[in-house]
Amino acid sequence: MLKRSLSHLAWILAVICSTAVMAAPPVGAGDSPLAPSETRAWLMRIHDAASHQNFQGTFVVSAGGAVSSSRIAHFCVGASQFERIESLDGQMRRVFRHDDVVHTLWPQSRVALVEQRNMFATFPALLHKGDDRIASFYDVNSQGTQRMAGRDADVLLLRPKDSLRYGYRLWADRGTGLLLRVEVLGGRGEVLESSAFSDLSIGVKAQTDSVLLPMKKLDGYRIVNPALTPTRLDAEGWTLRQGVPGFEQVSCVRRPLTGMTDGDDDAAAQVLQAIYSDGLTHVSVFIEPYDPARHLRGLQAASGATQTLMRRLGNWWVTVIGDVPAATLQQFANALEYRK
Amino acid sequence: MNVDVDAPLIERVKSGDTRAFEMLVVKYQRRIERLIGRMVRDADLVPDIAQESFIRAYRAIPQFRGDSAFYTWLYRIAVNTAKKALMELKRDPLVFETALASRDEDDETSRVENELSDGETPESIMASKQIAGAVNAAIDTLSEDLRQAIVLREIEGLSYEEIAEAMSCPIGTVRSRIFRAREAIAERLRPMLDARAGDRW
Amino acid sequence: MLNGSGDGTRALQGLSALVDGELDPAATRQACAQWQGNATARASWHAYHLIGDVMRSDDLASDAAHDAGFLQALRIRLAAEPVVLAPQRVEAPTGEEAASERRAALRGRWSWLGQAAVAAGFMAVASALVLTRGNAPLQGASDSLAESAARGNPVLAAARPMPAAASTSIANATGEAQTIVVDGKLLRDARLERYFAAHAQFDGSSALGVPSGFLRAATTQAPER
Repeated sequence: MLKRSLSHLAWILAVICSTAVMAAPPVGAGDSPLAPSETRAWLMRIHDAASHQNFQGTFVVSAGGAVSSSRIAHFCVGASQFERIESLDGQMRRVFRHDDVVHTLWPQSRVALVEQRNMFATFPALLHKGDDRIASFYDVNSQGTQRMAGRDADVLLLRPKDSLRYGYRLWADRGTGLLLRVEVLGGRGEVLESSAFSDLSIGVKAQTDSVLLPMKKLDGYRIVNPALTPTRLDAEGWTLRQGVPGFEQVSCVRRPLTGMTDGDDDAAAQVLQAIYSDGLTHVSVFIEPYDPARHLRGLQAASGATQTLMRRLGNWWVTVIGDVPAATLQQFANALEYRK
Repeated sequence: MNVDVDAPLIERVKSGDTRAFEMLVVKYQRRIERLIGRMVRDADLVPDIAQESFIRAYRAIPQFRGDSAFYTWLYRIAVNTAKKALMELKRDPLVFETALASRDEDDETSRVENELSDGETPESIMASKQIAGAVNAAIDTLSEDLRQAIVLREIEGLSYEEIAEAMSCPIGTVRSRIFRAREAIAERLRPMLDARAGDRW
Repeated sequence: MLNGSGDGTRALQGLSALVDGELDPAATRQACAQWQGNATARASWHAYHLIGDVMRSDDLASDAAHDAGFLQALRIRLAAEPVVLAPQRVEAPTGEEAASERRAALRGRWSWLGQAAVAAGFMAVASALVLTRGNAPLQGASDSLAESAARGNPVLAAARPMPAAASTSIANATGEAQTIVVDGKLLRDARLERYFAAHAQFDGSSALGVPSGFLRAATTQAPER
């Protein structure tokens, strides 16, 4: 009799446990914290997978209210990378990447944007500095495994240690480390944005022509080729009085905003763009001369995980954008000072 | 908190009203065809796969619980149907390269055809452009009240209640303005949409 | 072409309301019957939706003959299907309580917004920014998908398919920057889109390598020739 009820109890527990695994893992329950070196190893593996795996699938981004999907393919051949993205919603947009060159095509309007992918001091470099910045600003916990996109995934929770950044929950493919799903979490643990593969094939055959040929065939396309000129904030007369903890400047350029409307003067307008990164996310600070005709109203806007702040600073107009809380953008804006 | 705009029709469908389902088809057919067209390069296959998607949705309606909006649910069914169809045809899900492979570079006609995406013919592009032009022109000539109402509804996606709040008018007025805006635009479109189109439906 | 009779107009008005999901069950039943029996009703239902689709995205403009043909062919296939019957009430917050709750919530968000601001320009070219309702943040991707799905992807003048905002707080204007919780679809300013694009360009460089911002922008930037 006792034996039967014990096994019954065991069965109930098993059901409860398995159900718990199905649901979103609660913070804290059954988490095992990772040491900085483990964090580094995890993130390196994730990053490597994105560069070195051949894969293809449907990627869906949901940001509080809207969904957009794309078909993505990525191939790595030798030391070269090839990538292809095609929108499944809205206006047709195709993106092709061969190493650092990116072509974005809008077939309907026949516009092609040609850009150099700016690999500023990126993730691996940040790590190699021996600087475990990510571990300094995020608590990283392993949350076991879950099934995702038909694969076994390891779940990692990155909780920010301060209120200047968002949290992340990552699902990394067990076999390859490829990120299958990412959730950006707000201060209350609410999901601000989720990006995930709804279907995925890993280890597909590389089809480099499917990237290279469209990149060559630009006949009939109006080509927009914005030039990014590296510069320095102080050379432009600006300084950030106080840095924002965790964020380091990784790039500073003069550039046009790619307005692709013919005859639109704004398209030619140059702005200063300084980019700050904490290793996981980045913030762009745009500075341009104030123009009362164009700069009508300041704003602070939130959409999904992305916050935007625009305001006037004397004779200048400042725009700050990033997947960080609004207060962080404020800190950047408040610290800006023009010294010339 | 937001009610799916398709809720009234879905409820009708669940009560056995196939007309209501047809009305939903008329509503979403273009979007679904566009979605499938992007996944399946072969334009001839698109209507067929789109129809198949609607049939599957119809069969699965009893299981549709309203957890997500109808369109999201329909969208997923369409994506899955397209993928299945491609697999059955033993084609690569990303058919783009298949199209590239079969293209004869020196053939003028095939080059033109390949530049047209989603299986459009020059005639249908013309028709589409005309329709788009007419809609935009018609909106420009609407009175401010009507234009605001229809833009708030169709672009901003506000409910009648929210529009009433925004425009400080009764809900009945919102309903009427949106209707009048639609009729005014439809007036311009009717010649292009074939006067007897109603009979075809 | 409003046929002279009040009935005809009323019927079309009902259809128009049904397009927006703003029709009660009894009237919906009538509208469906109308749709079946009346050629004008059928053509209008098609036209009203075509208008909405085109307002949101030029490339959804159709060849009406194609659309009609599609339905004809589908009808034949549907005829072979057993009629589905699952008469359950689709959950909808009807009733006074829910309605007044919504009104109260709306009032809070709209109260500071003057008539002028609303009128300031909902058309594509306006660069004024306007508030709209905020919504609950994404919760397991269910309720939020409802909004976007019901609306499709608005692409008029380089709009972003955006999301309801995560928070609905309206902190008060410090004079310069107004804190506005914005449903991205109202960011009609094509210029703002360019900032987003310039920012998202660097999306793949993070540890995660997930260019979600970049991909989210997939439906923006409808560049004109």
